[in-house]
Amino acid sequence: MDSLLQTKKLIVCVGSGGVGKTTTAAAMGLAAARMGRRVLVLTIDPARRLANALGLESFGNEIRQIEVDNLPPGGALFAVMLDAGKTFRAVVDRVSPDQETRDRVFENPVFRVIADNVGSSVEYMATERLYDVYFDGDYDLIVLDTPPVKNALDFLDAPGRLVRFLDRRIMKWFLTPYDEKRIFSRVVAGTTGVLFRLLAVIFGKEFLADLSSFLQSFRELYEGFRERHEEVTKLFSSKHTSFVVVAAPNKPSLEVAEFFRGELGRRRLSIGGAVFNQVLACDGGAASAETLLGELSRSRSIDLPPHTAASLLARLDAAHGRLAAASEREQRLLSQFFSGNARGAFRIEIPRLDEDITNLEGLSLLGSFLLRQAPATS
Amino acid sequence: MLTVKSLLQSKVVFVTGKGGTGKTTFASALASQAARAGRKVCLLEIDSQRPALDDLFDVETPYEPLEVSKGLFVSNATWMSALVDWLRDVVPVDRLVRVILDNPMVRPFLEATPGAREVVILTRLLELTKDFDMVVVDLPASGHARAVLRIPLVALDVFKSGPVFDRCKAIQALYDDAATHLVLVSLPEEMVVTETLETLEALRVEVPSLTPEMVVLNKAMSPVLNADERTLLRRLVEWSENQSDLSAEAANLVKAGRWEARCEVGTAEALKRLEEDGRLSEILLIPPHPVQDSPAGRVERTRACIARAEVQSPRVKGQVG
Repeated sequence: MDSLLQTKKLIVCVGSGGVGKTTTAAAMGLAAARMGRRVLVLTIDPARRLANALGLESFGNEIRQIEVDNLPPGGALFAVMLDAGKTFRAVVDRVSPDQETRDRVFENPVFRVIADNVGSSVEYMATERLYDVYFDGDYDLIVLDTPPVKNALDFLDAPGRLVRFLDRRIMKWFLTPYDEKRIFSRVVAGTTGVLFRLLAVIFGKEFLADLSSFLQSFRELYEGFRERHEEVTKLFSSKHTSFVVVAAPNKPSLEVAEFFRGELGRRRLSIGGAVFNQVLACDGGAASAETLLGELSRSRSIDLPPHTAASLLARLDAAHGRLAAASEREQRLLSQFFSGNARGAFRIEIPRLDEDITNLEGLSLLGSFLLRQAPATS
Repeated sequence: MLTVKSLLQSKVVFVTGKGGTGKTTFASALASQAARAGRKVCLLEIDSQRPALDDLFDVETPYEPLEVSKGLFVSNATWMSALVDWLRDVVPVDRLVRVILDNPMVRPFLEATPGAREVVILTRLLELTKDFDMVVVDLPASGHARAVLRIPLVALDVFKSGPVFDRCKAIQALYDDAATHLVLVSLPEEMVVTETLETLEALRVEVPSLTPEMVVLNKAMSPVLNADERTLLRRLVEWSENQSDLSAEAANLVKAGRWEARCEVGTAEALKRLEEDGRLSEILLIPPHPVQDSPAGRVERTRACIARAEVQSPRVKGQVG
């Protein structure tokens, strides 16, 4: 983990939701800033978790510097939460040749759906934003937190879908102006003609007209998108990039993590290691609470009603039994997953912390666990 | 006003929440309890490559609903299958459906068309409501779920007529139906509750007719320790922190007690914050499951909690064991 934070230029955190992925990304960012690097944490999580962890009320599409005391020279921490709609509008604004074109795009209903719908465009925009911040070269390291998708590396796949769509042939095909007369009067050979008419029936002629005008005003930008996507794809497989799988010690999360590991391996992307958050770490013991803490409890409860010690001791035994059982199960699960770890990949277990992480101290604490790295198990 | 009882009688229940809160377990338990009462219920997962239902019911969740116990069916509304169904419905000639699906241009077009996936899958849900008394939808995590639910409403502005428009209208009518509900699943942890409250606010704006009236709080621990016991526990914790040669066994005991005390306090705080929202008619508390429980065991235990809450009068919270 140390060397990852010191040398990489891009670290991508993947894993299912609710496993502390955003918090882990923020903690890694803070730790790298403490090593004297200029770090940006980029999250595309629609929930405000990173803001929470960084002690900010909220933050939006603008990059914000996080105040951190006692950073070494060169060290700085920045964070940004991707707002897909705002990013898209900013991109349009930048590439539009004039205000009229820009306004026409902004008013197009198809654009509004794409821009306002985080679910369907966040992946495209993440690529866009990552491209910008990475190639601007303002940061030594970018830590990318990915959205909680359990099924696929969507942030890798979704821009590809767009690019396939933007394939020249398809573009040409769709950019045929969709006015009614043309669709129905022109003689189009074979199945293409049938298709045109079918699509008009399915989607409605208005929609196809809107889509067509949207694509036309976007031609330039789409070319750019494709180049950018190719650049980012290269970036993901670069030797300066590493993926970190984040999981919690429960079966669904570990299965998702295993799935991610397989997918990353299949794409020949480099996995730095795995972080297991919220590990209980509690052994069973033979001695009872009475034996270990009985006398102490009674001596510390003289001012409290009688039976206080006895009932607390009973509760401690019960709680310990439950916690030890849960911990044993976790350890069993952890040993089943990621057993054949890649050579050189780290594997870090972070104990469940007493408090939710809502500030920089919490992130520092998490960071100290991250840096106490253990060698790979195999 | 929504109660557990009326929830069990609804036509469609959407279930969502932050990742890892136990959405699938609750959705399964709710469906299972409704099926026990004699209803024909479909438990629907949305376009999942690895359905979470597989583990719970020990099946490979298929697209066509599969009966896993009396009256309880499971289904995975995968995009490609739903698309074929959708096209068959819109284009009644099979040969033309093939023309569309076989064309190399159309597939990428449909995949990249914003909202197509969501509209097609929600249309599949509409179809299922015709065959079932109740459909329980295990939605993705809340951020994504909000986008899925919103798309048909946004699409109404884009498709001003035609088959897509008609289907979005039908989905809107389903949202407006008094027998359609949305339930949020949460955990007694500060950040999770914050996310739940944010989702509540967002849904009230984005999909007003689906505003959640019920929150399910999983892993809820009712206070067992009294104030004196907590005082003593605090003293033990302080003592343990100042011991340099503390035995591991003693440390674990204190740690376990502290952990559970914290869960109790966390539950009380979560409940307070959710009640302060003021617009929830029901907060259902589900106690933590013993670790040895299998996934199916957790569903069964949650189902029993729902059954108990069903017979209690409204506004009375579910029991915490």
